[in-house]
Amino acid sequence: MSLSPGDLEAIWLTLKLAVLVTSLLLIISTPIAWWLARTQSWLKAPINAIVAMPLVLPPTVLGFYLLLFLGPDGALGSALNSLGLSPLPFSFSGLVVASMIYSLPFVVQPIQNAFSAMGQRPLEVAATLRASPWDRFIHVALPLAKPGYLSAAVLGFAHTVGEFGVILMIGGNIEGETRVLSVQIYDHVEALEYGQAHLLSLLMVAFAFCVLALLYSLQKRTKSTPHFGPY
Amino acid sequence: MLHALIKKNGTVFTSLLKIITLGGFIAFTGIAFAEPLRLAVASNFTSPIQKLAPIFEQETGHKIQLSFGSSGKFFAQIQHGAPFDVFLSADQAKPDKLIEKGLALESSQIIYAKGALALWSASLKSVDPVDKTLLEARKIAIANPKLAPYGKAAKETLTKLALWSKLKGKLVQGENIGQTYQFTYSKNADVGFVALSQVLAGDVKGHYWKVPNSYHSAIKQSAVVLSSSHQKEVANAFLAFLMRADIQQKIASFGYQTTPQ
Repeated sequence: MSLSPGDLEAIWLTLKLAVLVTSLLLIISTPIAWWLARTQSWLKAPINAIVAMPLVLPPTVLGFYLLLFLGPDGALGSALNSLGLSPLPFSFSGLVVASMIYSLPFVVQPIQNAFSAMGQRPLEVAATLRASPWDRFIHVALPLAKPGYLSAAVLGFAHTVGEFGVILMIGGNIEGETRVLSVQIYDHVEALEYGQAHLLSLLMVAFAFCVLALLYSLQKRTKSTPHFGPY
Repeated sequence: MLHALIKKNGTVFTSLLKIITLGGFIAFTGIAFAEPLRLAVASNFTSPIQKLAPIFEQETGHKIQLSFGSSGKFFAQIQHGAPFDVFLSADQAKPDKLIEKGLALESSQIIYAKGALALWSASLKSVDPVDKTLLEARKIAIANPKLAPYGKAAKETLTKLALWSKLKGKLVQGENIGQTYQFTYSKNADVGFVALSQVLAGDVKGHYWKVPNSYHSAIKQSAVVLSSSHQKEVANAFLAFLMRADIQQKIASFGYQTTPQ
């Protein structure tokens, strides 16, 4: 038994989605994590809670609300509509937006932990050497937070690959556009094509093992920052 | 320490123990005598069965426990020993396959309802004329034709209307008819091919066109008693109940076809 063209397309689409979502998340998570790691504001607790919410909400809740929120009657949906942009549900861009919300805590939290763990000291030292704030961030904070970024990238990528419920709710199962690997497996199971389902599922199991093994070996090598987000 | 505690509160503990034993006994015998009839029900029949099951319970005194899901998932679960007595499928193929594998009783098989398909919109002022509506719609929701009987019927209808290849690009697929309804209900799809029963049961009426039966092959929904059932008599009685004239009439009022085609 070998992979069908549909299977290959689903794998390609999943990888494309995961790479795009992870890259975008690493960019937008940096200021959020930086702020959360250093602020004394009373807003810290509520913002932390909002970021972590996708961890505890069932994907069906997220998917259902996204469907309503992005729909023509929804707040964002009608705004996009009046700007003449195409609606997000049932499109690849819709999946990107949904996946970014869904995987946000997996990327923010490891980076936030890395920023917290380094403390004020290295930055203060850099400041006494007349490094500008931007300099301090680029040349001191970022290199120190590298292990946090690595685990954020690995977790964000893996979590997006493993996404199912949200995509099922807002994707519309369109080949080459929204039919990702997990949905393809679901289809095979529902259609009683258990052989194809096995093949793809085994690939996923192997993938999950490799990713987690990589994560834990990274963790071992960088003992200085022991915090690894939600795990 | 526990020992001392028991000694100290000996009487309390013994009476507690008695209560627990008695409670356990009651619970145990209760289960043994009134084991509920467990039904695995295809999601499109959710709302009808919720109205029909209490009637059966009242008439016979037997309790019914309902589980809802897609027929494909139930098929896989039953193959692996899921503890159901009766399977109400959305199609005929899956009960047939279970009979073939010896997992369901051939003598029990009935067609309890025939599905009716509707083209429904929650957002448009009208779905008439149908071809124009379909051609102008931005997104059309259907159930997955590969998996769901209503999806297959929708595809056949579009083929009959000679629109399938033209509209293929704007079709969005729900995994089952419940999700297809959701896509249309939330107005993310302008129109959707859903079950007439859903439109009639839903809180948003919108506008619909009942697809003529001749446009697609019949959506025969079949039910069987499973071989593993411990209460085949009650299970058979329930299927006989579903076929009774007054109950069939009720099923028709929920948006199904019951007369033989």
